[in-house]
Amino acid sequence: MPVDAIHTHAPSAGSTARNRDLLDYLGEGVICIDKLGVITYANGAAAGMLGERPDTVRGRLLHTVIYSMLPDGSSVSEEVCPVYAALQPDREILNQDEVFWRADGTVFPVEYSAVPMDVGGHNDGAVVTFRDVSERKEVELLLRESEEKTRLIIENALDAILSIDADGLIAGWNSQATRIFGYTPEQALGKPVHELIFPLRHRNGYHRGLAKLLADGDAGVIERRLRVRASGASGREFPVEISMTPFRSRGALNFSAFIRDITEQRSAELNLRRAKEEAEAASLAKSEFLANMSHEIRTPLTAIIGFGESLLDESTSDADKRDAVRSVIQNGKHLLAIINDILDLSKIEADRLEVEFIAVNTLDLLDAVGGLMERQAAAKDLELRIVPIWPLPQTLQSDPTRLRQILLNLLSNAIKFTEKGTIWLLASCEPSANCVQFSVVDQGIGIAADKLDSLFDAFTQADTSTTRKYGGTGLGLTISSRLAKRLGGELQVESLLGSGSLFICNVDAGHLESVPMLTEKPVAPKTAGSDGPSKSKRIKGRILVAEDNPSNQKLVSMYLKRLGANFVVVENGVLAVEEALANDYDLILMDMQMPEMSGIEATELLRMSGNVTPILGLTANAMKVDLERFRDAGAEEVLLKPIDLPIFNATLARYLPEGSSKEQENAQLHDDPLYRQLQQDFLRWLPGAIGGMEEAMATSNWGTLRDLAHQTKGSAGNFGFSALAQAAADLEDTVRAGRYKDLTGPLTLLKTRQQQVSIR
Amino acid sequence: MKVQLTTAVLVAEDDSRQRDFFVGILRHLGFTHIDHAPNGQRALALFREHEYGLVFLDIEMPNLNGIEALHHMFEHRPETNIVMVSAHSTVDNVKTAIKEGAKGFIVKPYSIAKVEGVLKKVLGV
Repeated sequence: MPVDAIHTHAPSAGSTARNRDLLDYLGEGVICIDKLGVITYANGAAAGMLGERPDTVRGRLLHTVIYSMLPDGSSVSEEVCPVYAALQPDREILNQDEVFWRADGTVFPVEYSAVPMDVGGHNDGAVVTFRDVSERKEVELLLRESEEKTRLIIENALDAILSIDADGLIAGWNSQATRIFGYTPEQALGKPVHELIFPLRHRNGYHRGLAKLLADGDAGVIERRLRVRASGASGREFPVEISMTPFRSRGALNFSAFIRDITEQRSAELNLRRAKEEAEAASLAKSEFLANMSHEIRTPLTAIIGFGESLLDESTSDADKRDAVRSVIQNGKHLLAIINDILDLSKIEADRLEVEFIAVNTLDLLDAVGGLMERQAAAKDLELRIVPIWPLPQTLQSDPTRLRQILLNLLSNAIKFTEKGTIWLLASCEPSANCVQFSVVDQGIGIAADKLDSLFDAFTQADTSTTRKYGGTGLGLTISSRLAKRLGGELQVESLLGSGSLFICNVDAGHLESVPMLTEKPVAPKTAGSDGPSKSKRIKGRILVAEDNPSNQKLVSMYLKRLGANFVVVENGVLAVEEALANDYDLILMDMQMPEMSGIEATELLRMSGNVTPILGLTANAMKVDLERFRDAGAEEVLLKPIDLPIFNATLARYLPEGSSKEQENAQLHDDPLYRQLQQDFLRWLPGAIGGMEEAMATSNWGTLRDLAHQTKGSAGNFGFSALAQAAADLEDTVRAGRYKDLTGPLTLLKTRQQQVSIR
Repeated sequence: MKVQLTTAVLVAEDDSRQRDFFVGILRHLGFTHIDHAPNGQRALALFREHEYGLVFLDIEMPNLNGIEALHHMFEHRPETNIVMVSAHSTVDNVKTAIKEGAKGFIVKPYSIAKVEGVLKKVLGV
């Protein structure tokens, strides 16, 4: 050791030269000072570190060389110089945290020792050895910084970070761990990890896993994220995600555990999964529904096409043809019902169903519903009883169409599912609740208890085989239930399999205080079904039909013929206006969508012209706005296509009551003496006019011929001689066309017509 | 419908038989004050002298046709109820008449129903 060497040999003169050379090779700085602190020797390393040369430091006071100032710049007096303390006997100085000054005024950290030199029992100065520890200090600083960083990361982490020692005890516990588990570091450190943070029931399992992990470093948990149950100080159990990484500390296997509370994430996941499952179920239900619907739509279509084709087959007997037609009608109606239901439901689903609240006559409603269902019930030999339970309000505020739709649906279901017995429709009222209740009771097959809950759900049917057997869309109850809600009430069901069902529909009836309450059926009651659709009255009057579609033309023509009506068909709005203005009609059936001019436009123009003939609009477009536009244009009523025959007949009967057609009005005019006078005048004038025409023809006086024909046409029309008017018109047209050679025919015809008129 | 109608009516129609028939209908319906003219010129002259609640103008007339007469009459008394009459029921005719301000349009041959409809609309009877 150099220090020992110095200690023993350095001061002795003579043999020291070699030692001093050796010291020059030493990495540490060595400086010898005398009793006064004057440098007697400095080796190369010492001079180098201080930025001097050995010969320039020798002879100077050590204190001034190395301790001129403290690092902060303040001066230090010689009296307190720590190195000089070594000049006292038996004082060894060992200092590890000092700085020395270089010649250029910079500092460097040193570790030094100062040892008194004891030569021959008396103090002979001291030896100072030192080394530059800049690098070590740097490393220490970096290490401290790094540790601080790591500590901050761990402390600020959102995950609980634990370190677990080789015995399975907790050795590290960050603040998030405190937050998640509720234990302070003091409570947690040193405890077995499996006991502290896992629920009792899982402890043994985790303990075994931990033991295996600690023994061989792997229990299937390393570098994986595991989801386990954890528990904290509060006893609450919660899901965590845990990942473990091993590290070696003093040869032993330790672990870091990163633990994250995933309660929220887990519930979000569960919600998401639930939503996904629900969406999938709904989508599946809709697909099934669509598949079912397309089957339901195809079935009647197949029948319609098949029976339709059989009608064209020559070999089909008349009886079979009639059956075929009946089937076509039946299936067409069924198809229409399906489409209506789908549209209704989709409107309800989209919350776009329009309802109106107007005064509905309670008994009329019951009668109407009864009248419509009676035949259906009778066809199955069922009795339909409509029982008003008094008192009942005379009117209720509701949507009559929707209310009727609900009741018809419930009744038609009841009839469908009942083989024999009675169907009841009961109506009762709870005035204080402003509520009217309709109950439909049947003695049918009933509904199984487990099917009742989903009975009103869209897209789920009690049993698809039911639909197959009994027909219907399976949507009726869904629609009825939604409609009841829109009418401020609800639809409820009670049923016993094999015994029958009870459907109760409550609806909000509006304020009933001001409505008269009926306590019995009014005198001269309407009897349900007496005005049945089967008996269509014959109607009188002329009807103009404006309809562009040939099939619809044929259909309407057929209906009108059956009613014994007198009608003319035109195929667009322009012709409708011209025809309606030119001739007298008692009623106009006007299709809404037509080429040239729409029914709405034609109606408007007719009304502007002062034509007041009632107009019944016909449209396949059930949108309320369209119906209103039609009415605003001047149509009295708008009927929906496809035409519902009973409604069609009833409406026509309303507008064409027997005994008030325009023919009769004209007949009344014809009795007017004034009219008779004018008519006689015309008939007296006519022979002269015809004579004039013959003469004009003979003299080729075409202008006169044309004017006489024209006058004859107008007056003949006025007096109801339409054949004569037509003949005169033909003659006029022929003259106007310049076909003078062809005039004989029309003129002869005109003369014949004149004779007929005269005879009459 | 048979009511005493006090409204003064003017009928312009060149065909005397048609005119007589039409006047007959108006009488039948209850009008008592009915003037008539065989052409537009004469109708306009009457119009300037009297105040009519209702005027029927045949479109096809010599010496000032119906539409021309209508223009002059509206210049004189724009609020007059004028109903056009024509043997031709083309929609274009009807549209033109309405556009010019006519309150109604009658297509010949005249009939009670046609006249009644127009009266309902124009006079509210």
